[in-house]
Amino acid sequence: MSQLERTVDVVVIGAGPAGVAAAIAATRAGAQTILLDEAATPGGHLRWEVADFEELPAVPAILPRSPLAEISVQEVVDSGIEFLGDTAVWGIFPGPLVAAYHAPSDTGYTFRATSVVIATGSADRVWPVKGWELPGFHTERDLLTRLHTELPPAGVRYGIIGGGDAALQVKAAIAYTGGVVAFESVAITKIVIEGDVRIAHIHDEENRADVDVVVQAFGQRIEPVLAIQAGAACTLHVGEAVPSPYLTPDGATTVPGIFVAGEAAGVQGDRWIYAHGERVGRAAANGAEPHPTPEPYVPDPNSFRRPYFPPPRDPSIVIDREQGVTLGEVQKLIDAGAWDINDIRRQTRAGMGSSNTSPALAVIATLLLWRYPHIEDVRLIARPRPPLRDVPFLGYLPETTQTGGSL
Amino acid sequence: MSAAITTPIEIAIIGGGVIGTSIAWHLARRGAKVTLVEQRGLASAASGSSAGGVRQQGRDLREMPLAIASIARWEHLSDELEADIHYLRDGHISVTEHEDDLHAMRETVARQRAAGLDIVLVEGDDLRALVPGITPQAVAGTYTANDGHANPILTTHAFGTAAVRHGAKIMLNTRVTGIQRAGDRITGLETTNGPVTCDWLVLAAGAWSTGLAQQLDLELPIRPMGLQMMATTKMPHLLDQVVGAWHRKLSLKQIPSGNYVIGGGWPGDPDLETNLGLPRYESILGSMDHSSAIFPALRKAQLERVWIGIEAETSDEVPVLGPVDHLANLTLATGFTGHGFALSPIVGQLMSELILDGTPSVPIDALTFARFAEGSAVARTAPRVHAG
Repeated sequence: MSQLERTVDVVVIGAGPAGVAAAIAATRAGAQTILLDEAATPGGHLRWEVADFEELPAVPAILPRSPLAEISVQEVVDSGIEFLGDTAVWGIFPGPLVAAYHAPSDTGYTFRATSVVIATGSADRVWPVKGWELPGFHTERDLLTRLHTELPPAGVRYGIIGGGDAALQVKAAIAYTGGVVAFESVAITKIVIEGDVRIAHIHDEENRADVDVVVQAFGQRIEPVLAIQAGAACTLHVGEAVPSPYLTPDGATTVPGIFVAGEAAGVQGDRWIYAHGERVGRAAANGAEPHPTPEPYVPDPNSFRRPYFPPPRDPSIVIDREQGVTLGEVQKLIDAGAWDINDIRRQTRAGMGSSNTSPALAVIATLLLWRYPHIEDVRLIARPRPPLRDVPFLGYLPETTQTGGSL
Repeated sequence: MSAAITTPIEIAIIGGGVIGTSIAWHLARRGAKVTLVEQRGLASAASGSSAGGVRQQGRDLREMPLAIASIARWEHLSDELEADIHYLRDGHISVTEHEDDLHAMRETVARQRAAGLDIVLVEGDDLRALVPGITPQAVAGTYTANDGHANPILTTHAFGTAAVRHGAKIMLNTRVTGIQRAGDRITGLETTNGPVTCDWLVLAAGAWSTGLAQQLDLELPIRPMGLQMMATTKMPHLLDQVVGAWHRKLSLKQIPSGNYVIGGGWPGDPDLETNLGLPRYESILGSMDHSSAIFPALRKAQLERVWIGIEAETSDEVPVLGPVDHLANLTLATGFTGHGFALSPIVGQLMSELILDGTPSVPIDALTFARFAEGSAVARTAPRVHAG
């Protein structure tokens, strides 16, 4: 219930394959290393990957995990790395200094480190559609995570938006639980979800179905938000309308001592993620040079940077569920001449939530790109501000304050 | 300048914050032809980061007459602007936890009452009855019932919208790249969106004023200052007043949505290039500590947001208003040092009177640029209070 300060050589944030590999490599290189994760155990995205079909039991229980997750737990234990689970990092400050909160003990941690490796992986790509704010809407990973802890009764009707591997994995999981896929579509801008208190129907221009749950399965996008909050220079990730830090081959950002590894650095595939994590972990332990600060990126006026998704059209679509901001409110500002994402965010409150990663930000960047194809990235990248996670005051108050006064 | 104007005077204003937009509206509604140039969006710097305090208490005595006159304007501002600006007149109290302060507090109350402020000392149980959530450690507070707070972003946009209704032109995303002069007169601006001609120029560009003034051979004693603000998540309603504290860096209020907004002069690191500021870890922790010591309900709070306002800080911490000697048609309205929001209605009014009538209805002599030119060290006449 009080603040704790720790000084270590390397802090690794995120205990997925990249973070585990980085922590092991840093430790082998002689650095005192601590590995943090929001979850209680290491494993990262491996924890919600569905097991291969031949490994599934005949009688459904909860959705079985991939055995890979158990392997990474064992690796961490065997290598003697200090692992601190249930620990949410909410900010990185100059030093570098990592601010984290450990919920079970209600303790605020301050880590002073020589190097910080950000291995925060990816987040579900989510794109606002009409009615997505209704209860019953899930993204792919969100649904799979739930099915790992609790199976719904058989016969639940699903609508799936999206195709490709992400949709296939969701369909496999639904089949295993005895659910029914009643609707499928990839027509992002034409989907309408309806219902009074929760989702009841879904339709596009051709099909309509009664459904209980809608799953948007668009796969994942990189999640380097901590690096950007820490001040790393970044450019817009091609097609994604999400920011991407400038990185050296060793994963070093433009901020001395701040590194990005694995999926968060845009690496895909577990083997490559693991290999990248190892390289970055070694570099972090040895104190690799930062990326030189690039000139502000100005796009080639002859190139049209078309984003991955077309902008939504219906002005009544809610683009930020937490703040209740509609597309129309943002469009109105852009029509009035606003063209800086940080100004639009401040005025509409879109993307102002504590996670700083609302899909509203990608939507706003897309709207701006659509309107000004040659806009500089500095106008498109929302600088996230701490806290990136919940920070209870009590975990950070000095003893003198806690004994003085009463509630 | 003559009051009889036949063709409308053309006035350019640099800066789309709460000061520049207020001046634009006050001028436009009297028939002046106003062009406001803003490098980003309205309220994109200090005004968009302000805590929104509308306070007279604790003001430097040089700006006290303006603060008192401004409160009278705030009362009807929402009606005048035809917009909801979330103005609430719920009082401002500055408390102490030390008995030793009582003597100094009584003196402060006497001095500020003499300056015309309706301020009283509230002690002991009266204090706890007035502010139920205050720490039991608090022994007394100086209280102004007609201070309050409003929403700075809504207010700035309301000023801007009202100015446009009266024919003002607002150029957003427009950077001033040059200022044209003929002798001691400014004749126009070069901007990234073309030239702007003017009979008069108002410089209301906050922390960016210094660089612009240099183009006019004017050294403003203003430096950028990053002030940190924080907000908690929504909590049950408990606090009506704005709370400050002696010996603490604190400005605390609970806004209508239930979030607490906490400031008080904690430093952040401003970046004029990007218009963003970096919060400092020690400022966040310090602000949590001081605010929850004075208002213990905050011990159960969760931090939701931290932001930095890029303010213009003058060397003597009060604004620079009005003319300069060597330029005939320049008006300064800058350097508000983190406490300009409350003054914005009166500053708009006084600058419009200064430009159109030649004399403001409330004297601004103590706040003009001449105070620096005299080379005299200007002593502060009030304790430094940070409450935006």
